[in-house]
Amino acid sequence: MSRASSLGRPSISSLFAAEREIVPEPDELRERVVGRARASLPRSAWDRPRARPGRRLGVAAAVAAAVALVALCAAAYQASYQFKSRRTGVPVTPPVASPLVVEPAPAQAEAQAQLQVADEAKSTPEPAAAILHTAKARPSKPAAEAQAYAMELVVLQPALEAVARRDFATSLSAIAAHQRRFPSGQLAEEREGLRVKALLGLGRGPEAMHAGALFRERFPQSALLGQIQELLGIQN
Amino acid sequence: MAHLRLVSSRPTAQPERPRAPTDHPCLDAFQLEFDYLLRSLARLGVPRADVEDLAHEVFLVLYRTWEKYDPTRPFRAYLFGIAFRVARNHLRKRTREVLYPFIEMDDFGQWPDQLVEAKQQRMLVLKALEKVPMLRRAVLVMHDIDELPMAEIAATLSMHRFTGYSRLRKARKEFAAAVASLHDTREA
Repeated sequence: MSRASSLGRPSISSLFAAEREIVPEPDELRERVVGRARASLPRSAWDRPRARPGRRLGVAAAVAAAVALVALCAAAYQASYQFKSRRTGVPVTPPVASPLVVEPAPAQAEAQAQLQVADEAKSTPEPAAAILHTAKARPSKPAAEAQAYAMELVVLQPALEAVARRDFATSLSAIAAHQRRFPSGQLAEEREGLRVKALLGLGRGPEAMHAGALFRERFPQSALLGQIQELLGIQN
Repeated sequence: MAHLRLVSSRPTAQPERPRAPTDHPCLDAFQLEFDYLLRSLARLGVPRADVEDLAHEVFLVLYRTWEKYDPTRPFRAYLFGIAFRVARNHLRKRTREVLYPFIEMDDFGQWPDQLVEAKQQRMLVLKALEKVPMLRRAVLVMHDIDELPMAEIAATLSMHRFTGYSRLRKARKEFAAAVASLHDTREA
C-alpha cells in the first residue's frame, strides 16, 4: 500500500501514521459541546428508563388471575364428575390429565362417558400412583438446579481465577463463554461483576462504566454493587 | 455461591480508572473520546463549521442507543459507526459539497517547520480522503488509521466482511491516487 516516491512524495503509511495521532481540540470547543451534551441529558446519573413497577404489577396480576381461572375450571370439572357419579350411582374416578378431549354430542357423551369411566375404573388401578411413578423418573427441581449451578461454576471459575492473577483478557473470554451458555444463569450476577473488573483492568474505562451501569440496572440489590461502584469511582 | 464473590486481589498497580464520572456513563465515554470523535467527523468530510452540531447529534444518538452498546466491543468502533451515519445523513442533505477549509495557511507562519510539515501531512490526508467515496472512506479510516479489525468494521457498517476487504482495496487505490494528484498539483 505504501509507496514513497523518489520525488519526495510522502508515503501512504507515513501519512496514516501522522494521522493516527489525535490532536486535542481547543478547550472552549470541548466545553461548549460537552456542556450542550450535559444539558440535553434528561436526568442525572444512572437514572435511565427502567421497567415501570406498574407494568410488573400488571403482569403479576394477570398471571395470578390465569392461575385462579385454571384452578376454578379444575374444581368445576371435578364437581361435575362427582355430580354425575351421584346421579348414576356408578363410582366415578376422575380421569387423569388427558391432553386434549373433543367433546361429543351431549346425549352420546353421557352414555359414552359412563362406559368409558367404568372401563377406566376396571383397567387403571391407581392413576395417582402412575403420576408418582413418572414423577420419580424425572430429576427433582432442586437437583436439576444444583446440576446447572455446578456446570456454570465450571465455566465461570477460570474467569475468577484469571481476574485474581490479573490476566484480564483470559478472564473476559471465560466471561463471554459463560454468557453464551448461561445468559441468565445463577451466576450471572457474579459474571457481570467480574466483567466490570476485567474491563477496568484492561483500561477499557468507558466499557467498564457501561457494564457497571448495566449491572446496577440488572442487579440493583446486589451485594457486589458497592464494590463495583467503588472500583468505578462512583459516589452513591 | 458465596465463594464466588469478587476477589480483592491486591494489584501492584491500580487499573486505570476512567475520568471522574459526571452525569451519565455515556457522557463520560463521550468526553473521553471527544477528540477522536471530532477528528473522525473531519475525516468523514464534515466541514469544520458543522462539527460542533454534528458532535452533539452523535451524542444524542449515543445516549439513545447506550443500552444497545455491547461493552465487549471496542468503544471507538461503536462511536465511529454512529458518527459515520450522522455525517452521511448530514452530507446528503447538503445540496453541494463545500470544500472544507482545513487549516488557514496564515497559521503556518508561527509554527516550527516540523510542525508545519506534520500539519500539512494531516491536511493532505483529509483532502485525499475527500476524494474517496463515503462508504469506502469509512472502511479505509477504520482499517488503516484506526487499525480496527475487519470483522469489527463489517459489523459496525453492516456489511459482509468480503465487501469490506473489497472496499478497502479500492479505497486504498483511490487514496493513493488522490495523494499523488494533490502532491503533484502543489509541486507544480
